Formats: sequence, structure tokens, C-alpha cells
Amino acid sequence: MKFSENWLRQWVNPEVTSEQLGHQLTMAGLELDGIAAASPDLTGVIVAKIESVEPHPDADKLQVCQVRVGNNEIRQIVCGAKNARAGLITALATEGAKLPGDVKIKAAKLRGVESFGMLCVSTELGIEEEGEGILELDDSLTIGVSLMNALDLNDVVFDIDLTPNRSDCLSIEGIAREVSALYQLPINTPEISSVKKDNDDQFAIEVESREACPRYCGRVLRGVNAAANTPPWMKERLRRGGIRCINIIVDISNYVMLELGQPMHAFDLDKLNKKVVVRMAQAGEKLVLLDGKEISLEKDNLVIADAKQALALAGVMGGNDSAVQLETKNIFLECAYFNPLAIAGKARDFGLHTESSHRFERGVDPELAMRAIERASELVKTHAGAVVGPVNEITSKKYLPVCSEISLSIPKVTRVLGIEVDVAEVTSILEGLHCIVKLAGDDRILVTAPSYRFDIDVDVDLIEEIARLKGYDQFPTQALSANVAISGGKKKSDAIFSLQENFSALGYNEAVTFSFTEQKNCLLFCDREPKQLANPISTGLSNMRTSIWPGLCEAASHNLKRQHATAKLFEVGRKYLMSANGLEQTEVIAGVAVGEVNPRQWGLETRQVDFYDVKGNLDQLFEKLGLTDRISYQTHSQQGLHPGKTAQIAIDNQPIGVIGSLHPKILKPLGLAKREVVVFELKIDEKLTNTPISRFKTWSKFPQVRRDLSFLLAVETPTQQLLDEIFGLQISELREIVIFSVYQGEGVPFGAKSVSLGLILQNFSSTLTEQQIEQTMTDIISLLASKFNVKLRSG
Amino acid sequence: MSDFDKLLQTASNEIEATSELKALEELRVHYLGKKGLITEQLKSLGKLSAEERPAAGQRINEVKQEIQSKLEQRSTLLEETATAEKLKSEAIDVTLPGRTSSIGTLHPVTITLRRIKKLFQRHGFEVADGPEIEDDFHNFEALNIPPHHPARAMHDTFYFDDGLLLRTHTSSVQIRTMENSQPPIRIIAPGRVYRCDSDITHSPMFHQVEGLLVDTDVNFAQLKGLVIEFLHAFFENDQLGIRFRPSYFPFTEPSAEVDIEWHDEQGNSNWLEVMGCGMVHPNVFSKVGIDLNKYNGFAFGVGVERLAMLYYDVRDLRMFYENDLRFLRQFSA
Repeated sequence: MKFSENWLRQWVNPEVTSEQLGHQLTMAGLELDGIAAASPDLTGVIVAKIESVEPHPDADKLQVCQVRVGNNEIRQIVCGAKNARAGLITALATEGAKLPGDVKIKAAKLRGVESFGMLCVSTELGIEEEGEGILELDDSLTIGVSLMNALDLNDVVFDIDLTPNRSDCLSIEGIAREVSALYQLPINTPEISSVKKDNDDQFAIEVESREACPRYCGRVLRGVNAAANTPPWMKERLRRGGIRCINIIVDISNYVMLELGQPMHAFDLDKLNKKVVVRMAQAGEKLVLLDGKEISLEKDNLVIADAKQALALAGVMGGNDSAVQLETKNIFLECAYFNPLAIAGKARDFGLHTESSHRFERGVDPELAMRAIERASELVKTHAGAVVGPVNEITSKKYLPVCSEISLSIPKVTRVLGIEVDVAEVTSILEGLHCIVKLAGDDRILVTAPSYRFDIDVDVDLIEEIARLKGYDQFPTQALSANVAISGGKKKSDAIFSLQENFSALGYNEAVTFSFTEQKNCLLFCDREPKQLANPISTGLSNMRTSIWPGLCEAASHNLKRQHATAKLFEVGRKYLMSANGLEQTEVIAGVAVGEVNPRQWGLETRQVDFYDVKGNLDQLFEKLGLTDRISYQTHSQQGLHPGKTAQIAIDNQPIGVIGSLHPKILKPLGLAKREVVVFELKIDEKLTNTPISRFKTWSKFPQVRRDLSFLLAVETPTQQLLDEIFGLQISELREIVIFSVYQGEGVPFGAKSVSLGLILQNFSSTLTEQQIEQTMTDIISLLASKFNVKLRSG
Repeated sequence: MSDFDKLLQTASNEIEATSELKALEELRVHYLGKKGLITEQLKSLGKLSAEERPAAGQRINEVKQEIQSKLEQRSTLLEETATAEKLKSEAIDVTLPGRTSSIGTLHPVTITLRRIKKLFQRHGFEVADGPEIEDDFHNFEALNIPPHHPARAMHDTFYFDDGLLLRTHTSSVQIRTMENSQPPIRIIAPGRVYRCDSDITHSPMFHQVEGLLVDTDVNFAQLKGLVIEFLHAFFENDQLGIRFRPSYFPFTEPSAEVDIEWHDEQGNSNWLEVMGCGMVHPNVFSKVGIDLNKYNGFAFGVGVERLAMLYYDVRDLRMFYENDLRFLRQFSA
């Protein structure tokens, strides 16, 4: 809400600076968004009249004007504006004046003709953002006075950011009421008297949708001069309120809206067919709006129609056909109260947002219509001349909002706010807001809010008003009561944080990528249709991710393209999958690793990250979490991953995640062509976050012995199977098996791999004898020979 | 000069001239070994008369000890020199960088969330969680935002065709918590939230922490106290200017926005909005079945990126989601 400070101060005038007033409004919940001078300093710019215009002898585009600057004073000014003409009242920057942009006005010769100043274009003066030609001022202004005075430009424009509950402040009157309550000053409300009717001329009104339109007032005004000039003061107030001037009739309705908060609409009476009907639209009914746009109406659109067709989208915008034009002679002035629910969202449905819809959907004072129509009629009569008929009002009381009496307990005020208040103080504050307060016992009052404060509905609304008027900054602070218990158990959020810290310790940088992405990314690792947004911000952000990998891969690619040798990233977040059980929002920790395994440095050769580097990282994590013995990896296949380099990760044989290298075919779309890219994902599951308490285990005091074995094994046999079989023998002395070499190539037959195991043996009760060791080794070798057809390698 | 003196003189000279431990050992054998010159002298003592023997014996022993001592001194010196040379040859350039594997970082949002969480945990707030794809009831309706409420327009909600939506605030977690538990309740709900808006100061996805406290005797003055305590601790500045001003959230009444005083590069003071808060609206308690005559509560919400931007002096919100390593590596936990 933008408004002129001078205008406000005519209503209520606290003795504070503009800044102080702005601050006070902010602290009362009417947040000051901006405060700016209504115009730059225009000292030296005066109102002047062009008396005559002659062509410049030496320049086609220039004219030589004789300009009156006082009763007896004429100055010669050379001007290039097309609209410079004899009789025009305009603005003259005299010698010595300074215009915005550091333009200094001096007497000069233009192509040989002397010029003693400059006729000003409104944009040059910094008071309007658009406009061509020199300023055209109203004839009523006195020649020779400074423009600042003539247009009351020594003013400040306030821009207040109002919360949706305070639509009562969308007017000068509303702001003035607040200021009056804040500074405890009276308001000088301009007297609005009923305009005496000149005749009984009426136009039929029918309200079909009474719930949507509980009050409708209409009035016929004949013989208006719609081409009359809008007075400069009104123009300026509208301009400072951010409203464009159209014609005197529209300007007056906008002016009353700014002044009192009541949106109004004027129809060209001669274009209306028989009557005005307030009704719901028929589906598909067409209406060309004032902005020229044709809309197709829905059944839930409230319209103002005549006997034939829809004329206006109620509370939002008028129609083009019935709009007031300069040649309009007779008008029908509408002033209504529409139910906010009937208007809410309708403007948005058509991509519109108007001053009117903004007010109606938040709510207009239901009792304001009559005052506003009288005010507007009076202004039309004064400035455009009119013969005025009576106001025709249709009100459906039962649909008008009622301000019910709210019972407020004073102890409750203290209970909610934590400050002591008494009946007298509360009453004084609420009466300052024009509430009607009645005593109802020692510590209880009954409060009726004024009709424009329909946001006050229950007792806590009143408590907020009390707090607001006392000033939040005046409140003491209190310590919280210490009603706190130590809650036991492991916390999921702590466990997640520990995962994040572990991955960062393992060299991964944490990323945050968007939860939505383009559809093709959702189909890289998953063949299910992703969940799609109905109103995405762009197609690139239109589908809920089915995996975190695409986002991480894009981030990795982004960094590799910026000359980073490595990108190791992880993210904690949700993925969204449609499944038989409905939508699943699964929380996972996922990562990507691509590039060099170590930072480049002296004395250490680097190489590209591969599957085992990342698997090793996960193993380190699992060891840290005490999960090593419960983790297993299994060959796995998943869309988008390399069929030979993918494993499923399980805890206690329940799948918990996946690790794999990206399938070469999806590298290019992800911007990672020809790279080995390893990704992993772990579901943030109880098993990962709620790890059991570590229990102490004792160890053997007897020496360990190690025996190495090398086998030839078919390439496709997972080494894990070998280990599982050995452990399956349940040899109590077998502590650990270390795989210390895996080799394929020269010296090993094609289709085979050499696997070397270090078996670590130790007994709990004695030192192992050579015989025991031999027996164990024989058992293992014969088992492997029978199960896998492995060959023991010699040497 | 006696023969002994000559012997001692020669030995001393030879020892002094030796520069290697091996040669020194040879000298020891030469003089003191089983067949060494001194040993020979001792052996020849028997040839002397009983009167001469004690004096000569004493003298030989003196010479022996003298040579022994000189050998030891020389040996120590040579060993020290050798060690020093060895150490010298082993010297490395300690200014060369150490051998590293890469070390990762936490995202500034994570670090900030963690800090916020730690501070509220001191007052017994537990972390609560809820879905990001929400229904209308939990995101709006139960928070006293019925359909067509003008506050909905402020939220720029992302919708799905089935009527579900992406939560616009973590306030939805308040509702889920109150549906499932009875007071006293002290929770904070961190998480991603979504608004259909994107420019230098708005991201379609960002993080919020919502807090809720429901108990008997909870009031606005306590809310104010807690918020001030939190902001002072978060910014590690007890002098930080903080102001509360009335605002509007449908789910709280009274409602407040909280501004902190911030100085720009020119030293001008500005007020920046960092939090919203208020006393839980009775309509919200009614929706979730909490006895509003017995309990009241307060709620607060804070934008995590907003706090992180101020704390770390980041100017462009979008950097949080670009995941550029030059950005990610700047923030230590």
C-alpha cells in the first residue's frame, strides 16, 4: 500500500518525522517497505504558460516559444517537444534550476536563437516514469508559482507491506485510524454528507447471488463530463498511491478507494441493457475485460451483468464494452460488498491481480459502501458535473458478516502475554481501536470490534491487539520453565549427522541438490513414472527425483568442468518413488566419486577412482559403525549401473543399499563421458542409525600364525563364496582371512584368476601345534578342491 | 724421555691422527691387545728386580690407562661425528607438504542446522520429522489456513495433480507431532521446504527449522526470551540488536517477526528479518485435539539459509545449491 504522507497528515498529524512515523508503523505490524520523496528537489521549476509558438528559423524540429512566467513577464524558450502549443500550462525550469541527473539550466543560444530556460518533460523532472512531450498541467494552477508548491511535491511516499489480515489498512482512512490509535490523536475525517438527489432516476438492480454479494449499491449520475480534467491534487495523490490516471470518473472511483478502502466501478449507463444483475456466470460465458483480454468464465465466477450479457468480473475488473469513455454522458456507479470467498483466487485464475481484487479477497468493510458512494457522487458532481439520482441499495443482512461480542478474560491476557494488565488499560487500548467495550465482572470484558476489523474473531485476536499497541519491544523476557526430561535412546538425527561427518572424513564434500529435476533424470535409474509437479517452476525442475544420483552426477560434472581433478560428493535427502504401497519418500544418503583417488601431490602417484576405492570407503564407514560383521555385498543389477560392477549392500542379509559404477551409456547425458563414475546409496534405516551398543570381547593371549594359500579360481566365481565356505567349516582357530593378492594375466590360464589368501590362526587356550595347523590347512584345501574345483598354486 | 713416555707420545699422536673407528680399533689392538705393546711391557715386568718392579708396574699401568682414555675419547668423538654426518645426510625438506588423502566438508546448511539443533537441545527440544510431500490438511488446513485464505497466496505452493503438495514450511511437522503426542511438547523440525519462486533471494527449495513448545503456562514473554537467547548464541554476540514486531501467521496469535540489526559495509545499520514466531492459535489446538484450556504454546520458524548467509557472509542464495567445490570447501564445522 503506497500513499502520500501529506494526505495522511491531513487526517492525523503526529509531531514526528517521516522516519519516526514509518518506524512506528513497522513496530505496530504495518511494515514499512519503503519511504521516498514524492519528487526530487525541483527548486527553480515553475508553472508557466506558453503564449505563442513560432517555428525556429534554423531548425525544423525546434520551436521558439514565448512563455509567461508572471503577470508581466514573458521569457523566450526554445523547445523541441511536439506538444508545445500556445495556451498550454506547463513547467519551466528557469535559469539556475537543477534537474535530476545533475542537469543545470543556463541561458543558451540554440541554433542562434536565445533560450532562457527549459520546458520540462515529466520524466526529466523525475516525477513520472513514462510520458512523452512536455508536462501538461491543469489550467487552474497559478502561473509563476514553484512546481513543488503547485503540485504539493514536498511530500513523502510511504510504501507499507500489509499482512493479509489487515485489509482495513488498505486506505488512508485505515492508516489514519492506526496512527490515531498509536499516538492517541483524534482523526480529522473529512465530512461526507449525503448528496442530495436531483431526481428519482434509478436503474433496476437484481442480486441473484445474495451470499456472494450481501450488499449492492447503485446510483445513476446523468450528464457527466467524462472528459473533464482530473484536478492536479487528485492526480498527484493517485500517482503517489501508485495508480495510473485514466479519466475523471475512473480517477474518482480510484481516489475513493485509496481514501476509504472501497473499490467501486462505474459503468457507461447508455451501454447497459435494461438492468444490472449480480449473478454467477454461466460456464463458458465470454467477457472482454478492460485490459482488452477476453476471458471464458466458469460457473463459480461472480459477474455483474445486464439483461443480455456479463459486464464485469465482480470485484476484479470491469468489462471493456460498458467502460466509461471520454464521451460517456451517463454513468451507473456501483459500490458493493462482495463476500471474500466469492472473490478469492478468481483474479489469479485469470492471471490478474487488481487493486480491487486485492481488497475484496482480503475483505472490505461491509458497512462502508454507502459512505463511499456518497463520497464518490459528491466528487463526480463537483469535478465532472452530474445530475444525481438516489442510491439504490440491496442488502441481505443474513449474509453480511457480524461482529460478535468477544468475551475477554483479563487473567488470560496475562497468561498468554506474560505481563500484568488491568481492565482499565485493556479497555483504553481497545477503545482506541474503536472497539465497544463492556464490563462483565471484575476481570472480564465483552468486546465488539468495529465492522472493518473482521479479522478480530476470538479473544486471542484481542490479546494480540493489546500486545501490538503496547509495543512488542516493551515486553519483558522470561526464562523458560525447566520442564525438561532427558530422553533416552539413540536419536536418528544424531545418527544422520554422524553419517555426514564420517563421509566428510572419508573425503566426500557434502552437496545439496534440488529434490525435483527433469523427467529424463528420473528415468535413468528407475523405470517407474516419477511424481510430477502440476505447476513446476521449469521443466528442468518438474519431477520429484527417483534417485539422488543424477543431481550429484550433475554437480560432479559441474566441478570437473571447472578444473577440479576429483569430485567426491554425498548428499542426505529423500527420493520419491511411486510403488504398490503408494508414494514412498525414502530418506537416503547417496554419493558419487569420480576423478583422481588422491589429491595431486609430490611423491605419490595418483590414479582414477574405481569401484573398490568407494567400496573401501563404505567398509571404513561400516567398521566405524561397528557393522562390519553384519554387512554383505552381492552381485546385483540395476538400471543405469554397469552390469558387471554393481553390488547390493545388505545388513543382516536385508538390502540397505547399492554401490556400482555408472553404465557407460548414461555417462554422456550426465556430462561425465569416458569417466569411471562410482555411486552408492544407503537407505537411512533403523539398521544403519540405531546400531547396537558395543559389547567388550576378550582376546586370545596365544600367538597367531599365518599360512598363505594361492588358488586358481574361475573368474566369475565371487571370492566371497570362497571365504563363506571356509568360514562355513567353523574352524575355531580361524581368526581372519586376508586376501592379499588377486591376479589375472600372464602365468594364469585364461578364464581363471589367482587368489591368494592369508589365513590367520589362533587358539584361545594354547599355542597352536604344527600338527594342528597342518590339519586345519588340509581341511581347508580339500574343502575348496571339492566345492570349487580350485587348484592350489605352487610357490 | 723414558721409553714409556715415548710410547705414550707415539700412541697419543697416532690416536689423534685417526679419523675412522676401524683404524682406532686397530690402534687399540696394537697397544692394548693381547699381543699389544703395553701388554708386552706388562709381561716383561717379570724380568725386572723386585725393587724396580712396583715403580715400573705403576708406570706401565698409568700409560695403559692414559692410552685407554685417549682411545675412548677419540672413539666417542668419532662416533658423534659419524652420527652427526649420518643425521645430516638424512635431513629432509620439512617444508614440503605432507602426504594426504582428500578430506571432505559438510554443507553450510548442515553445519548451520547442527548449530541450531545443539542450541535448542539445551532447552530440551527434540528433533521431529515429517514428509516433504504433504497433504493440504497438514500444510494448511490444520494450521488455520482454510482454502482461499489470502495467506495461501503468500506461499506459492507447488502442487501435484492428486491434490498433494510440497510442504511450504516445516510447520506441518507441528501438526503431525501434536496429532501423535500430548504435551509437554518441545520439538524442532528441520527440513527442506518448497516455494514456487526463484530469484537471487528466493530458491524453489530451501531449509527451515520450525520449533514448537506446548505446555501449561507458556507465554509470549518466554517466547521472546528464548528467541533472543537463541539469536545471541547463534551469532555469538550478546550485544546483537534484536527487535520484535507484530506480524501475521494464521497459525499463531499473537504473531511476531523478528529482525536483527545488521551493519552493511558502510557501517549503516539495517534491520533484517530472520524469524517468525507467535503463540499457537487456538484453532490449531482444536484441529489436533489438544485441550486449549489447559495448554498453550508457542511456535517459531527460521530460514536456515538466511541464518547461514548472515553467519558466513554469503550474498547469493543460489550458491547453496550449485555445489561448486570452491563454495563447499569454505565452511568448517
